Amino acid sequence: MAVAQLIVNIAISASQYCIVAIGFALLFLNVRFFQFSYAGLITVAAYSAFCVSTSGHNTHLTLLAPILSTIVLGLFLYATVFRPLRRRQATSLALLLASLGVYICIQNTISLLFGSSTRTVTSQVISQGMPLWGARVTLVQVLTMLVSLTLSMLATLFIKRTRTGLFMRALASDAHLADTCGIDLQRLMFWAYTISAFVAAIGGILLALDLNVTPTMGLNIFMSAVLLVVAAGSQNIPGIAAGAFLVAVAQHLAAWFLGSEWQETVVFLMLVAFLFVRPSGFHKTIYKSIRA
Amino acid sequence: MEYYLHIVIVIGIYSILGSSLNLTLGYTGLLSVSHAAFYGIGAYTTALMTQELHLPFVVILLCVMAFSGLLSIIVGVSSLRIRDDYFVIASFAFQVIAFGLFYNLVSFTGGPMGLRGIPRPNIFGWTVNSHWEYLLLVVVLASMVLWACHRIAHSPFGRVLTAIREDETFARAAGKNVSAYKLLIFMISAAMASVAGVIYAQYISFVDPTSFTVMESIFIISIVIIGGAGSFWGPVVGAVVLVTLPEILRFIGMPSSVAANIRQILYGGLLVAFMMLRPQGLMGKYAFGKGGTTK
Repeated sequence: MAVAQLIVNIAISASQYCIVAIGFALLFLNVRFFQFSYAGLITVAAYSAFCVSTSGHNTHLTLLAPILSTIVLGLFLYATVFRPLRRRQATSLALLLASLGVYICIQNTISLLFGSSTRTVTSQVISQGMPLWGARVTLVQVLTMLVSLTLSMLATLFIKRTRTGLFMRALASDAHLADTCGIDLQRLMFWAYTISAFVAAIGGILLALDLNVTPTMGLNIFMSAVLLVVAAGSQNIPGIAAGAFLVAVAQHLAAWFLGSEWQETVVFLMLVAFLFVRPSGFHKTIYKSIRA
Repeated sequence: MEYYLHIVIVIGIYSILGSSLNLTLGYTGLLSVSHAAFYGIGAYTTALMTQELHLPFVVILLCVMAFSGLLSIIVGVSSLRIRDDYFVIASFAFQVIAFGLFYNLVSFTGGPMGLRGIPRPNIFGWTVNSHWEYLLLVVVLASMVLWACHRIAHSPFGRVLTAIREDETFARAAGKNVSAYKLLIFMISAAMASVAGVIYAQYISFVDPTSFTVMESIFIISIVIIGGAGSFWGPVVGAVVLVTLPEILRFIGMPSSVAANIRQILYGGLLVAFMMLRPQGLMGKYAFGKGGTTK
């Protein structure tokens, strides 16, 4: 019974990490810096879902409003902060710092509006558990797993098979060369920000429906996304999915043996271990700029 | 009156933190998000040493600096292996791990409850008690830290650090042991940060993990960036601005329930604005992250 539940819980956590990491991977592939404001987008999506669920409108709106607001916010940030910075040829460190500032603003605005304590999303229909091989799963959790599988496949197809995906890979391997060859970088950035905001919104909504919402929820899951993208590489979606599973296993085992308070520390220990032992991750493309 | 003294003392503490971070961030160009961890290590070590061992202030200060400097080797070594953004992420992870230890090692650190009743510092028989005496202590220690930073920045050692910031390969080609320089400046910077922790712990007489979070680290970074990275007065100016601005808001009549959030929005927003409009900060020496030179 307990073991079945543990396995189910691992699968659910892995799916959540996977969704968030895919969005971040698509963003990172293009922008090549650790954009912390992505964590803010997840939180915004989750809180918009929370708002819609408490306002008691119908369920179609529940999905649409948070997704749209998140995409609009993502594009707004791109237009007002990140594109001007990029125009000024800011280094990735400057972009990273600016995105941290943006994240802090988003997190604290949400704290101001909703309070910093945990809020519960109430939706009776989807949070009822149903039995599955001696474990209990809710509809949202099943949905999360299905969405993560679908997204993994779609993202792989997008990167490997579409023209835009090809351009993005070109940009990732050599930005100057891609620019010289006439690839429209503005258009690519627009798509990268739109798609990643969309995926962040999906991830945020699913997180909000499964767990509760807190102003710091985005940053916590963002750091595991960073770990996955560093370890697996931003073009390697199957690697990210497999990594998500490993991280979830490590977290749940840590909670099981050490206590749940160590759950988060484990992710960061893995991140440090990775950066120490294998800064280039397990992917084949080795970026020269990683190693000092 | 005590309120004003308190603000000046806090500015003094943040000047120490900012100036010490400026050694790595401003002069050497290494962005580390783990400065609050060393600040916290300083504060916690002080709390434990005063409560358990009752050692004199100067002994505690030296022990804490040595301990913090030794621990910083872990972060320093990772700066040798990985560069730029990846190092930021690694130091971010160190910061969160340190917070996790402060929070979860309940038998040592008191966990979320923190450690209470840290005794007042005793310096050769002089017990520091009133706000005025604390102010004196902070000013003396901050001046010593600032003086040390000034000496380091304007020594041949400091010029090599600037060379590493501008072009690491060139510094290496000129025969400088870049790794040793980076490690050493990390240790010095962390040791100085722990001085701020020593003062803080004994001034507030209470430490808990919430004072040493990632956000605190980013706050210290904002002090350096907004004041002006790589300039001597930059972190001091940054500390004055970022500590007094929220207090002014309180004067206007901002309720204290929202003050903490407003304070963070303020420095987050300022960080973005300065990165976009004035990356060299108020004192303008080195434009942090301006394209070209560092990559």
